[in-house]
Amino acid sequence: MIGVDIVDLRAIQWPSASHRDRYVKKVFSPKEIASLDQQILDRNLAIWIGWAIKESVYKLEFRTQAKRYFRPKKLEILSINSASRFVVLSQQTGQIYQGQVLKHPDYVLAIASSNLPHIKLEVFSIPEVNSSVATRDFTLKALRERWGARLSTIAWRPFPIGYLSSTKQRCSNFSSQQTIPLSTSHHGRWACYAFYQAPIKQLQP
Amino acid sequence: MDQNEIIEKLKKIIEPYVQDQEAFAKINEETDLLNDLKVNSSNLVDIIIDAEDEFDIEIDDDSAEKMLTVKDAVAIISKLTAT
Repeated sequence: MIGVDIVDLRAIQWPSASHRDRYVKKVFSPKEIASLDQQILDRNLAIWIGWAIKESVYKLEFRTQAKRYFRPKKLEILSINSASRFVVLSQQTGQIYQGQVLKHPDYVLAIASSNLPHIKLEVFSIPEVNSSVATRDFTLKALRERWGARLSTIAWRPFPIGYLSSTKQRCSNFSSQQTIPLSTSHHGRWACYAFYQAPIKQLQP
Repeated sequence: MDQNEIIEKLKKIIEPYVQDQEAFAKINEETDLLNDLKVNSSNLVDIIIDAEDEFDIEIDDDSAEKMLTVKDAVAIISKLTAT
């Protein structure tokens, strides 16, 4: 399974310093903030990297647990190293998750998965701010390019949280419907998708 | 404070974060902030902070976790403003 989250750094504007401080207290534990500050000197960048990590893990966990909750503190960032690899403990399920952060001057992105080498990830700008339609269309195009003629139909199956999606594909070579693990995210002018590149027969039904 | 008053104030708080204006125009108690209004999940925290300021309350983590629909939010705010 995969979870991705992207934050457009240019789309972020704090109404006030006190609002930012309260936001931080609602999302992170003091230990997490200390850890992020140690790795990332810019406090705003640290906040959004921390947020993207938690959101990416939430999306991944939601796919496997299918229990909806909104409590960022339940996902505890245990570590983030100099290579931007992170480890997160879910206090909701007791599961440990890992992933990686990608930093760009315009955005930060976190991807949670235990199979990072097998994932195709692409970041792209979208013409209309916060357009989920543009994100979906771009992702479907990439899926078609990857799976080509083997893909006879695609059904976009949204999960009941904002940006988490999954496609189901029916392949001409197989009689049963199979799922491609997929996650998408968009924020501001940026969007991304990530999906498994494994051969179809290796994917879980 | 009655429920209608809470809903009206809540609508003003939510509006800047809404991405689906069509859904916002039809907002009701069952409206889901993330799925229907397409509020970015990071903005849910902003909504909670703005609601704290508007209603002069403190929304703890247990309550915030349940604020996923308008109905949830109104119930929590009603309870906190009544105490």
